[in-house]
Amino acid sequence: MSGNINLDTEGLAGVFQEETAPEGRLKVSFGPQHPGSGHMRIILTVNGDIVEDAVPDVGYVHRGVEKMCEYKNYIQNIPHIERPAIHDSSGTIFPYILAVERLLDLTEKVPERAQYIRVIMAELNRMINHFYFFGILGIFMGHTTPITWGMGDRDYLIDVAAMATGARVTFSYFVPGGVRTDLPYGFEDRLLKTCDYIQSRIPAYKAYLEENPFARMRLEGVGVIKRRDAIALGLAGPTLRGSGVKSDVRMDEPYSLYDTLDFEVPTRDEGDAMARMLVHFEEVKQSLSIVRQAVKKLRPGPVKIPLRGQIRGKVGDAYARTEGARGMNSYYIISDGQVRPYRVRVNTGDSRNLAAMPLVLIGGKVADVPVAHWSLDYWPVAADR
Amino acid sequence: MKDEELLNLILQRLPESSPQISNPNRIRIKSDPHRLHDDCATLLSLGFDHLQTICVTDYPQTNEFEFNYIIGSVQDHLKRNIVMLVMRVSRSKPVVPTVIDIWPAAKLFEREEFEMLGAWFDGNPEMKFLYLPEDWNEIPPLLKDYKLKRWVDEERDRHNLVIERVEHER
Repeated sequence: MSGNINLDTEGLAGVFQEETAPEGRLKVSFGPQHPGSGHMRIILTVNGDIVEDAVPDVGYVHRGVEKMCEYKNYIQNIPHIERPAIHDSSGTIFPYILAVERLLDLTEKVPERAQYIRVIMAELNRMINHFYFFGILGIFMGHTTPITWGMGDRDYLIDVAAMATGARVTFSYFVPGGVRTDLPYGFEDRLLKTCDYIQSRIPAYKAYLEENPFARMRLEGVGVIKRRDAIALGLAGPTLRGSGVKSDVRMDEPYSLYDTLDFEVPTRDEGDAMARMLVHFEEVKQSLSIVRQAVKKLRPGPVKIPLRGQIRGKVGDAYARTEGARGMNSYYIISDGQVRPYRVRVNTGDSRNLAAMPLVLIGGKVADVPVAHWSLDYWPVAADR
Repeated sequence: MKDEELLNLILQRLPESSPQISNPNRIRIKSDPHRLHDDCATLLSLGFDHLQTICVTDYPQTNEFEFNYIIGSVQDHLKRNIVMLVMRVSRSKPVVPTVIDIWPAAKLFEREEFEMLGAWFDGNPEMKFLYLPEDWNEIPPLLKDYKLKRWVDEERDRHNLVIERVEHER
């Protein structure tokens, strides 16, 4: 956490450094209340209505996942790693599991059924995340309809996921060698029915977020990121694709049988909040298609390789990455042959997208700060880890 | 690009880096702080434009830090390849040059590794805490010397918590 606030800090000397705003400017502390996305703060220097400087002040929800990983064994790490990302718990744990499987030499042995179940859960989580995205985006635009729609529709998807995993947000469903349990009776039917329902809702969202002139006024031209900047800043996920870069780990380095499924990677060239929203929108359609294809490919069979006793990774390292809902999640694990990893480096798409925060805010209006901030796919809890 | 092709390409451009294939689509090359900047610039010219993370690992047994730069690409022919640039630096003076002029994405990664492990990236203008509280006055928490157990004990003593162990009778 760094940065300064413009308050009387006599009692807090040493904790906060006082810094006055330049002549004619005002320093505004945006946060650290929960601005709809988790605790973080942006210190804005404003000149009238225009943001002249923006310094993100993060760390309010840092919990030291990387340190905790060194104290727990490979299985115990699963639940606490996915805690920070409650909207995309499958996407967050996925690369960890792939990296551990690489260390255990299990990569080629994971049963086909388990791989397709993983695809289904990852895509369900992507849709759960994206509906949350639409909801909060509506709130940040000053509209109340999208949050009620988004939360309501998201809940149907959560119900399906809960049917398979027994939990509503953090599933702990992926384990090294497969998935924890097989799908329950009637899961496929319910999943397909839910997909049909979500499909039927898409025109309403399209009318509200894409064709609605009030939404367009708030989203178009806000927080523009050029293609060159998006690559240089190492952005990921829909934020990168909204700036015209066709980069998706599912396509670039297929994992978990994604290469047997037929899908597209939507991109937009504009690079503004509208483009990023539309990328999310298209991704929901693609996820529906992927889920339907994966359900067709499910064949009866085992869903995990039984691992007996305490598992130990081989001496070495593994770097795995997957396309999470908010961008590429990647884990770098170093193993020294013990039951616990020696070092785990966690990188989520959110922590990468933070790099673009000043870029999207500076030069914009104060009223556009919430929209630009949320459209960036930056979720403080997952970014702070 | 296939691993072998990339291996040959890197071998031509960076002959001192002794590249090897560590896992499928993962090529590991070695560097040292003096060569780092030039090596990174060469990697960028080869098309590796998307820095994915910087990982610093503490090895107190050998008194070393391992710096690991994991670099990918968004260019079509290199999308599935990852280059891992590894170097070992003495733990008593873990200073390496910054790479923010090559990959601006490094700014946040370097700040994070600075606060978590105490590695110093020479030339980065913002070497200050990112996630840790400003009044943090202990050693960097990801060092192996920093023991979580000790922290738990101290917190318990500070708050006068009494944790009783309950023995269940059968």
